[in-house]
Amino acid sequence: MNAKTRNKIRKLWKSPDEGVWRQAIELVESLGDTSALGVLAADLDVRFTMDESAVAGDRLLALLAAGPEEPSLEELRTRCARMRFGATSITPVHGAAWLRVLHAQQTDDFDWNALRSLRGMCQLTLTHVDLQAPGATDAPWPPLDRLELNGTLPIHLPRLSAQRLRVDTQGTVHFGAHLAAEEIHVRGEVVDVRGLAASPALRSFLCDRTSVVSLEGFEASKHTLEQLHFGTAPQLNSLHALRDATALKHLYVGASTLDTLDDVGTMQALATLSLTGAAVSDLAPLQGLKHLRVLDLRRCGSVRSLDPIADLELDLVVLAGTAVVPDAVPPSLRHRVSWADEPQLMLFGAPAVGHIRREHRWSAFPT
Amino acid sequence: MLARFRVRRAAQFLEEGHFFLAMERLVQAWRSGPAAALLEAVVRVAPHAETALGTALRAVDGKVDPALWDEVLAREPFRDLGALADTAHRTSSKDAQTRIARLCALPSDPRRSAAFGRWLVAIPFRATSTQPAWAQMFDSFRALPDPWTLATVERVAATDIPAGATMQKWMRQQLAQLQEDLRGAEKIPPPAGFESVEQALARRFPQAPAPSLPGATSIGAAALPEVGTPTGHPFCGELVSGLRTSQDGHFLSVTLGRLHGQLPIRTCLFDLGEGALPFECLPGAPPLAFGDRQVAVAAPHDEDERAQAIQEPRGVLLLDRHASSREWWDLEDLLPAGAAILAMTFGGSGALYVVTGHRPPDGHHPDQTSLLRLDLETGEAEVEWTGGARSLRAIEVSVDADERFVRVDIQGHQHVIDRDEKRLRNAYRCTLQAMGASFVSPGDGKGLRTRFIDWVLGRVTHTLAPRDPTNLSVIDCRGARVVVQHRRQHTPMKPPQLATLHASSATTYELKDLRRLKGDRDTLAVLDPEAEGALLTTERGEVVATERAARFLPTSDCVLGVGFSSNHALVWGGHRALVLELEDRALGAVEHGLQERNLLHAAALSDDALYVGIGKGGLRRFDRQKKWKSQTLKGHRFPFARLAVSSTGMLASACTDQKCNLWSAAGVRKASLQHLAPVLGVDWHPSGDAVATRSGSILRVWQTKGGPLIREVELHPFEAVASPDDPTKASPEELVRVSGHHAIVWMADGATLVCATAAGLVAVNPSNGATDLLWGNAPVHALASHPGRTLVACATEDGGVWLVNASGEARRICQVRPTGVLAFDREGVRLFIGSTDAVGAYTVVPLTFPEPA
Repeated sequence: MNAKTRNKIRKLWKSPDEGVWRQAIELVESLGDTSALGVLAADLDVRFTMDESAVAGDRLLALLAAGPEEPSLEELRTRCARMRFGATSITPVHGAAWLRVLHAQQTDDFDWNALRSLRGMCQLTLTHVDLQAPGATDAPWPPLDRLELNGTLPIHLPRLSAQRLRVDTQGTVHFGAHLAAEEIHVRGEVVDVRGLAASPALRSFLCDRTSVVSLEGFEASKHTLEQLHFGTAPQLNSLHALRDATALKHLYVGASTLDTLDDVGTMQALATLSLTGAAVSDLAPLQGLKHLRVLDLRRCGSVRSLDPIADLELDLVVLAGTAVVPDAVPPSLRHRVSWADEPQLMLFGAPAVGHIRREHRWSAFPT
Repeated sequence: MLARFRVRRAAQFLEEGHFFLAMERLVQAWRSGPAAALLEAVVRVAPHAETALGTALRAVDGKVDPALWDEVLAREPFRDLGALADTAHRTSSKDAQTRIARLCALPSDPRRSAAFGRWLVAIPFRATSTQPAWAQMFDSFRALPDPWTLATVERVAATDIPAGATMQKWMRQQLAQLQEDLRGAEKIPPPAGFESVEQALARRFPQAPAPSLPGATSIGAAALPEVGTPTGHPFCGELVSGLRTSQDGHFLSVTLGRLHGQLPIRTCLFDLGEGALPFECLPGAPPLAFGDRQVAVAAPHDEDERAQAIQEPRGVLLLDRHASSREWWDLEDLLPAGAAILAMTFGGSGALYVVTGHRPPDGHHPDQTSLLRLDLETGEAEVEWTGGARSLRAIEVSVDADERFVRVDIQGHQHVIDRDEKRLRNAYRCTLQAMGASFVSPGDGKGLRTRFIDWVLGRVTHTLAPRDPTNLSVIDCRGARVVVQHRRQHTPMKPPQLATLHASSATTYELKDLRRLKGDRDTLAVLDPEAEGALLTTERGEVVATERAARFLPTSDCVLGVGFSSNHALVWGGHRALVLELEDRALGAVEHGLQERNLLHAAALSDDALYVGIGKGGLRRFDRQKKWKSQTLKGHRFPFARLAVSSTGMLASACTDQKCNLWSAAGVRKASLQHLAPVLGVDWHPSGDAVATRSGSILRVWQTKGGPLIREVELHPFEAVASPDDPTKASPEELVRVSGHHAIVWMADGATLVCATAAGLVAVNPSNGATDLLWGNAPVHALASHPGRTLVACATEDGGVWLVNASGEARRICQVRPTGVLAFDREGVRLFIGSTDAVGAYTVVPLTFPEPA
């Protein structure tokens, strides 16, 4: 391409008039020359940071679609919450194999077919998500490394596979379908976990609240699950599904109705155990947990004695709201107990829980 | 190269008097390399380079009319930018935000940066609604990072931010970010050849020497400075950003924020048992620890370095009040690179526990804190614990009685360290305040009660009883005596109350004997409840003191006047007046403190009563015999210029309503002396039989009984200093200054009247009306007559204070910048002088030299 053509393309491209800048795209198409894209690269950036209308993003997509070869662009943000402008549709990139990351906002006319056609996509962030919309769950989604769904409506997860799944919603979350994942992080209320039976490699499951009664579905991941965190689980009365979970290191069950620790006693790898507000009274099943370092029994009003765990090498036992009196603490644990309402368990080895709401974390007692 | 040329041209223009051209060059030079010295030079030249409109803008008192401001912005936005920026905030909050946006749209300018920087330092309350405006200001700082702004931002970030929790948090984040963004501008030198500008500035705008600060003086006269070395009063008119006392009540530290240009942030240390003077003034607000008659301060070793590198102290200065010694402990070898001391405390054995913190340079790891134990007897030091921290701000440390457990508080996150096992013993989130020997977690004013906490276990030991109001919170605690306060949201706090704690059950305390403390509302901390008098600091950073404690902090307002009766002294200014006892001719305890809603314009003290002139014509008499009962004296309508008490106890009230009324000692009006203009000066004959009044250049002498006019003298030949257009609308400070220009005093022998004029001191013989220039060829700004000798003290415009005798011989005694306040004490042993730089700074000058022959 000579300098004259290059200048012409640049001039056309800079015009705010759609009719004019489309001529630039047509020119690129007619040239069939990849270096034309390079010419426009600098201008693309300029346009992309200007607070204009959505046309800048659409223009970009039109150009990309017109390009004869795969562009180097890997990440695409369509109009989403953080950007007031951007592409209004992903239709122009239908079938693109070069796109790795997509941030998109689900609109009424969202092109689900285009989404499914993105074969090379690894990461997808979908905001304003409504999976009840027509076309959303008609066919399976492509497998992803990371999937993030944000919305305000109840989410019934479709049949999908993602290594890391993150859901943030004001509504409920149903893991009812066949779902394969390794890490699941939910900000919202989980009402169904049976679909997790298809996740034999699940390592971590964290959620704010749950209304499940039992953990049916977790049996499949019994030997891989390392961290399980239920911020508030008021109806949970059994951990039987996790009996003999050999890999589980960190278990947090807030405000549950658990009344026995028999199942917990079989989790030999357990290092952090938090059972705030549970109805347990007898700590004897914990005697065998040689790796246990942190035990959080806040508001377990029925716990009266620490004698069964006196021989454990604990770093911290939190006793606020229990029936244990300071004089009844065994001498071996005297300098290991805390009566604080908001203990900082992470300083004693509990893992970070990321995006979970503050009231459902290790330190706070769930309300 | 270009900058050097511009600077040289600016110096030439300055020499030639072309201030606008000089300013233009300096601004250009600043834009190419924003050195701090250039900014200061521009700010100094700017008022002289402005148009008449800009000058008019500056001259407006109070709120600036939006039409005028807009007109100036439309006409001369560059030339009058200084005036525009300096007056932009003088309007409603909404308008101010609009103005700020418009200023921010202009190109970077040193005058704008200086004005914004001053607001950042001085505007005491920052409402959340002002966030957009602050954000715009910060963006304007970022547009051209300059070292002056960086220094200002760092200084503000180092002090408390007087605002609500949300705004405080936001402001802290913004300031931290801003510091990062401006970091590149740390050292920008002024362009070569800038000395010529400095020299030209010094020649054009000579500055009187500023008082030496920080000075270990106070209005209490326990240690008098030498003649000729006046020092500033450290408190008046400044924001107090921190107050701390030791647990045993021996020490007090006061951190003063920077409100006025000349005064840096500093911390004054007082030994409460030893009188009213600070024993140490430290630059900045360094970490402190109080021990048994010892104070440890984190500070660099070198005195020069201390002033520079106070941000990152790596050593400990130990001030021992037993041995009156200063000892330096260098921790350079022990601390990790880049670590600074953040908090300290003394253990029961006398060992010092030091918390240090540093930010790892890679930026990926969290901040690190370490606990260090320093044995002051053996000199051994050891790092006992190291841990991560989310922040290196708001860090405190305390040790239990056995020194087994140490608590490190990092922004409300408590880390309890077991020293025996060298491990973390407990960690939890809880706001803890050390109150005497107890640790209290304050209630939230709604459902959560105030709790007493055992910090090792994190256990609540006691709560306040349910029948006490839930919004009652303990704010200080000494043994069983506590100070409590109603905590509320969105409404002003009630005054604090003193109470006694009674254990009503094993886990609850009950409050008894609730008694309201004197003091301001919005109280944040009470420091000395046992002493029947407390030091209170308000949200606005003022310090209010009651009773005995007041001797350490006489007033936070600008002191506008001092007066004396036989046994008492009066100090007044702003909204307050204090009557202090005279102990061995020095100022002692406060006998009566007065706080008015409106500003005080004048005050006087007789043996029987205190007279105060407030607002427009409000004259009040407080009777000492009747426990300072108040009585209103009616007869004036406008602000008072001066009040004077005669030797017989009568009062003369010179008022801007063109009258001077005479009142009996009991407060009954005896005569009304009329002038044709505001009466600005008044003084009684030493015998009390006559009174002289002055209005402009007219001096009148009246007989006390019946009030007949004895003599009228025209001082016109001596050119009285012009008074403002309308003295009735002048502020108290201005009226005091104007009345100083129009002061008249009788000499002690009663044979001569001395008047302040533009030409100097004029002696008037009241028996024949003859006038004679007694001394001087400079305008006199203040005047006082010695009570026993034929001697007057006067202050001139250049800041000189002179003693002049009846024959016109004079002797200069010191150099300050007076506010128009001079006063001899009753014995004539000391002279009190007001100085403008320190805003009401007072220096006590002993008259140890012979009277002029």
